[in-house]
Amino acid sequence: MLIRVEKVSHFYEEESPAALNEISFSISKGEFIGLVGHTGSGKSTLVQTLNGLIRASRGSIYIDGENITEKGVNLKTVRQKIGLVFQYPEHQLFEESIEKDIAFGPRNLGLSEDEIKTRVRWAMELVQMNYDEFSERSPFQLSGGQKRKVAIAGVLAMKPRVLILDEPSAGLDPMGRNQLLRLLTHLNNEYQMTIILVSHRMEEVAELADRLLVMNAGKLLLDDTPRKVFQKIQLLEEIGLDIPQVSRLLWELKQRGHNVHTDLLTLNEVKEEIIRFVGSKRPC
Amino acid sequence: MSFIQLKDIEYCYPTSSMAALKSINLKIEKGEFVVIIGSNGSGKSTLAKLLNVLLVPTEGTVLINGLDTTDTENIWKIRQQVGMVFQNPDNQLIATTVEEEVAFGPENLGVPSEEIRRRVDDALRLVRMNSYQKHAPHNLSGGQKQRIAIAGVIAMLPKCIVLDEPTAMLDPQGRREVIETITRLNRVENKTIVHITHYMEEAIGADRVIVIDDGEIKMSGKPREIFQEVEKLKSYQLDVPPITELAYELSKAGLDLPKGILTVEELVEKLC
Repeated sequence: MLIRVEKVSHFYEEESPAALNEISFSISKGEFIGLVGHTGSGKSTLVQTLNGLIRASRGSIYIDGENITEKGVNLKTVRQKIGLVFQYPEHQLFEESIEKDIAFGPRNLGLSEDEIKTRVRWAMELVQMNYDEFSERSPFQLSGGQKRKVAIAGVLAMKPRVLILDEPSAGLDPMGRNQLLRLLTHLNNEYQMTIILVSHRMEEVAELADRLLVMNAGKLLLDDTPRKVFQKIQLLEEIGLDIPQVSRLLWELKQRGHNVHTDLLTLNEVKEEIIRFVGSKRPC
Repeated sequence: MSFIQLKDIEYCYPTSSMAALKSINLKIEKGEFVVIIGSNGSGKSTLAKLLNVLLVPTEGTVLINGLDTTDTENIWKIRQQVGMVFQNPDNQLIATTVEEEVAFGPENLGVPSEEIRRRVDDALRLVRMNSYQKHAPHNLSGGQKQRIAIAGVIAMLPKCIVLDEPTAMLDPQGRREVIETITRLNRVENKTIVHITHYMEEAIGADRVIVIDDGEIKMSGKPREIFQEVEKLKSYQLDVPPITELAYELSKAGLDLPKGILTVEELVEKLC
């Protein structure tokens, strides 16, 4: 098991309510996880405990069998394994050239210059930025979407085994978002990189994730496949989450007594189901 | 006369040889709710900046309530009538309390203090934030911050509010709060609204949707008319709401559905 979280709780201050409340789950290599929940539900706290930026107040987190909540653990190794892309990561760019910015992490790992260069090229290729065209340019002259690509490349150049992204598509236009989501699928398929995607866009996680973790008020409320999760429409509404439009459509039809399957998510399968349903319906 | 009139507009940024906007002709009436959609780099923010003289056109004329934006005499008269709200609420809030924040604009205009008090109270009530007067803006949620930014604009008593991707950095609840607020300002207060976004769902309640691509106006019409052109919208790199796309696919497959379905409820009605 790559990541094992056991009864983790976290309190920002002693008297404050639990930001994380007895959370337990495991993640295997190569999984694509969607982490969803209302603002303030504990998602960001959780991902920061996974790479040791926050030491959980209670409980244990095992990465590759090593308990990272114990004192004396080398957190540098942990952070190399678990790459974290924050919200608006482009705000963290600081170097004078794109090459230097992406190389910053690998250089701190003490890698050889050759290896650093190989990694920078590799990471730039992944985010579809031409090395010869962009490496010497200042990251600050790029558009918002391109800056974000540079920031993500900087994390990829660390060759993490797990990539965690906190709302990576926020503020991107549809094209930028699609490119980014394709990159995540590619990393997951080609490199068996484990992905944890934190998102408010339910359509996004429904399409990409194998498994969803749903957080509410510091607790892990659901841990299941998107198909199962998005059938619990009333529960999701109670905790303030959006529901994919197609799931709501099927659910509404079912509520009205129609015989439709509600565990469908892709446009195509929903289309087929509606056509079947309309064909079987007796004229009113 | 239309409240906003753009005639044969062309705009080139000084550092670029390419026109960010070309041959734009557009009229917006008083009290109209217009949504402008377009992908990044389409020119939609440039267009927004022309409306309150943050930019003046390279060619053509922009008239706001009859005032020409190229005449420097008019700048402040125009900015008082056309307020702007930007994407990132954190970059727009400066004061230590919510009421000071909202009072900032009218104070700078030299409005008497009793009048400021009244305007602040009214503005906060309109955005449903009146119980937060003494709160610090930085402790509010994203949606609340944007509503404070909107209240700051309202306190200037503008006729028109231009919002440049006001929901891009917000979570779903924050987005709903902002959309509800601007819809109310339009319906109840009769403010002219120009809302720029790339979320198509946010265009559903508008009087008119304008699609910009590559610096030009490509489409203009009622939401329903625009949203039935699924293929065309996709060619401009725009997203179509999933339910609209599903309805489009279903009618392509032979189901008898009206064009341009916008909501889940509508589709449920038509299917049952």
